[in-house]
Amino acid sequence: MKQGGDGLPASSRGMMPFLEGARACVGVPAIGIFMTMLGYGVMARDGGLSAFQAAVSTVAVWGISGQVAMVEMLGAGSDVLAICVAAGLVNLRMLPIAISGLPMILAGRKLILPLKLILVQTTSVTGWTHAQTIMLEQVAPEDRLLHYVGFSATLVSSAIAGTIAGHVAGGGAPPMVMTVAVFLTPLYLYLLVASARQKINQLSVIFGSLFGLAFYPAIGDWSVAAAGVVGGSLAFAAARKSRQ
Amino acid sequence: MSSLLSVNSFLTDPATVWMAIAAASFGTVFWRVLGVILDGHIDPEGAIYRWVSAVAYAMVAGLIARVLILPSAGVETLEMGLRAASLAIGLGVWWGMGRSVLGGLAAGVGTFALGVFLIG
Repeated sequence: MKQGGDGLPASSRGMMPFLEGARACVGVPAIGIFMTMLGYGVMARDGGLSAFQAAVSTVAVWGISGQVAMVEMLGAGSDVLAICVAAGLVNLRMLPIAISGLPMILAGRKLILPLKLILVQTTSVTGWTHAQTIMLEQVAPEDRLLHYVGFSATLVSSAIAGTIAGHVAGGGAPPMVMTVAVFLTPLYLYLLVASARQKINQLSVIFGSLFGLAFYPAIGDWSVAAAGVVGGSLAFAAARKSRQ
Repeated sequence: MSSLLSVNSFLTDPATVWMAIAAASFGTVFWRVLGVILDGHIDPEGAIYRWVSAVAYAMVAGLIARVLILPSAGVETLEMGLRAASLAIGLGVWWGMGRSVLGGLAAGVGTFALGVFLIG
């Protein structure tokens, strides 16, 4: 078998992994992100953004909580530093997602820094969840990077389309339909992370959910970070204890 | 929320919007860049990596559970109950069908859609 420059067997399947990744995204992930961003497009329009600005914000931030925080604070006349800190706070999950996701996606491959930065910019909850679950189980290590790029390219395209469609259509969709549509993505992602195979990750999902809900009324947006650190550490400690 | 109802009656000053987008982007990209910097220094087989992964799972689950049940601070009790019940039914069917994500999704979204329709 031919060896790639990075020491892994070079994928002999050409662009097939890319197409398979794109195919894996068409369905619930692409429809879900489209609907989520449709809602964001409506909101961005109400907040005074142009369709182009809304689409750029989707790609440049790529984390729905940070986008929503930005539009809300823009409307409230908050200053730039406050927006930066708030978006950073609600999107703090990107740090553990990047650290735990990159080795899964690269699977031992080396990438130059600019490409790594582009790769990590497209990594968010949906992509990370796909990488941790379906991709890890079904895709050979040498095909994972291309598979992930295909998945992400489809996801980002769908998000841009959704943002613009929401902006153009405005409040045209019946609110009931939007409410149900926006329920789809989080439930899908929740069932995917709940399907984690390793016990430590199953425990993290349970603890993270409980703490996330318990902390939110008291500490608002800080609850995600707090639930992650407290819930994740508890799961880590419990898994460590049960292995001894 | 009255400001949100004045749909498209104004466009915010473009320079202000671009600054806000840059600020929100920087606040988010910061974590990703930090993740790339740390990536080479953390052993994927080691304890630190396992802990960070556990934190990532807990953060994602905590965020999604909250978005599902308490999407905003002002959510009404009846809607919150419907959301919790839809999640519970989705999880029940997911479990009952041998961890079928699509089965759980159909059941959960179906329950929620029915509830939204009935509540109005």
